[in-house]
Amino acid sequence: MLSGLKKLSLMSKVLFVLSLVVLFLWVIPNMVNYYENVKKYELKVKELQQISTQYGVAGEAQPFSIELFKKDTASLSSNVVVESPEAKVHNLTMYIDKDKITNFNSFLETLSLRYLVKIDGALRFEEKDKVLEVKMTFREL
Amino acid sequence: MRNQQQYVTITHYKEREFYFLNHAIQTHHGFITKEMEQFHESDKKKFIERIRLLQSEYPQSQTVSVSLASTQSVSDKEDKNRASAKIFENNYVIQDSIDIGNIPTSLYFSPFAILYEEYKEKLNNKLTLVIGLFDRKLYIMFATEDKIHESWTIGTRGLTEKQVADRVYKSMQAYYKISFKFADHIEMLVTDDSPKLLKVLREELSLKIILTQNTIHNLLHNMGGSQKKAKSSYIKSSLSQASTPIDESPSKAEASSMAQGATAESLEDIRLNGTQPSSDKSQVKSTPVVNKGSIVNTLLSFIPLLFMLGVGAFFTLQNDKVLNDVALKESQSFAQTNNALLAMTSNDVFSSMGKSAELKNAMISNSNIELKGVVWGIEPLRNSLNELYQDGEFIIKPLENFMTEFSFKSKV
Repeated sequence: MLSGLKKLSLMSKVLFVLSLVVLFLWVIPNMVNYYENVKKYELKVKELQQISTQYGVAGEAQPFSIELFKKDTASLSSNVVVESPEAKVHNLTMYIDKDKITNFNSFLETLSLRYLVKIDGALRFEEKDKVLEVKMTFREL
Repeated sequence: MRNQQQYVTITHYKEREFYFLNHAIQTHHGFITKEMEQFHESDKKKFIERIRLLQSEYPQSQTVSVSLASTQSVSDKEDKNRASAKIFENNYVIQDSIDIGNIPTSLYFSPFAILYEEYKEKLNNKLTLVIGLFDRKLYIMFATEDKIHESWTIGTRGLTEKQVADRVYKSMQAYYKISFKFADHIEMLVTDDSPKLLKVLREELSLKIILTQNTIHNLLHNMGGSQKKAKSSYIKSSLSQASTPIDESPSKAEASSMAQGATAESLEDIRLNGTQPSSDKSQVKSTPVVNKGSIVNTLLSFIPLLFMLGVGAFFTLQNDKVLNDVALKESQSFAQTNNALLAMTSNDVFSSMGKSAELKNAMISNSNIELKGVVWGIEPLRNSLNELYQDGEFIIKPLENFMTEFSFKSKV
């Protein structure tokens, strides 16, 4: 092995040493980092799965879709208005019967387990003829 | 009179700035060499005159020289456009052109032809690496009894013995790459004293090298002493006129035939194409095959580095992707916590209204709340809200329709 290395040309030796430097200073640290992050990711997925199970939400969170959201909230509100002033930001107005506020709050608890969104800012309620108008802003994750 | 009957080989070659001249009487039992003469290149005229004198002194003679060009190679096909000489069967030694600088020459041999003649009896079906050291150039050939498989020329000028050994090793490696065979043993013919080179070659190649030492003059006398061997000369005109084999004809009549051939031979008969062989410029180069081998070796040396760069790039990209996924899951987890708190606050606020009040407007966030509505039971509502938010600001305002409006602000 050593005699084989000795017979290599200077250029080959330099390239061989350079390969070792790249291996130890770049490849191995990157590999270690990668596997650590994979573990971290798996842990987060597990945590979210446990929370979903607690709330009885099946499956992984989906990217936000107006149609899907309207379908999922059909039992809460038959009137959902969505405006999207900018990319990935959606202003929602929902009209809910006052006696369904508990159901709305339960839905709110599981919102980010169903859709990849977060509520930006506050919830605004206004009563109009025994119907609650709820305004909120969703920002996609 | 005696000179008239003797067949003589006059040998000459140039090494660095000197011409070396010798002549030998060919006999049935070998040749008898005379004193060697040396001429500086500035005395070229004298040198040529001396050859002419010897030729006239010995009319039955051949003037023999060696081509030390570095561009010679062995091929299995004759190249009509270049100077070529048949070594045996389908093996030809070829060089670009012949330029002997107007020095009388009737036989002109390649070191490869000399090497073959020296070692042909030893060749068998096992691969033999035959190395000849002539004028600080290594003429290398891989040969078996039926074929010369590959040949290289390696210059040694300006190189250390170790570097020379390294080049021989690279030639062996290059040959191994094209044939997957290593030489079974090595034969080496040196024309000068090179004990250090031989020692280093033996050490570096870790192979047994069988050494033979002989002078260029002796090798040329040997080549010129037999018509069979002389056939492998680059120059063929004199041979075609030699009617009888030299080694069978030391008699007067046969010698005369040879002499006629030698006399009839002129430089015009020698194939010349006017170009200067690179060997005369003394800058020795290894042949393209060796260069190709070293290029391939260098390119192969890039493979580990490229592999490392590839693996590194792969993990970098994958790591970036995983980092994005982790960030998404973290923000999802954070959003879930926020939403749960918001839902809990909303639930608390609506529960606190009970039957004491009715909420008209509300702004609920995780940092503060602002509520406004109509109240019937002021104290129960105040107590209920204060229980949830101790530092809140509870204000009541009587309305004209005998109802009471309340507003409440607090930090969460």
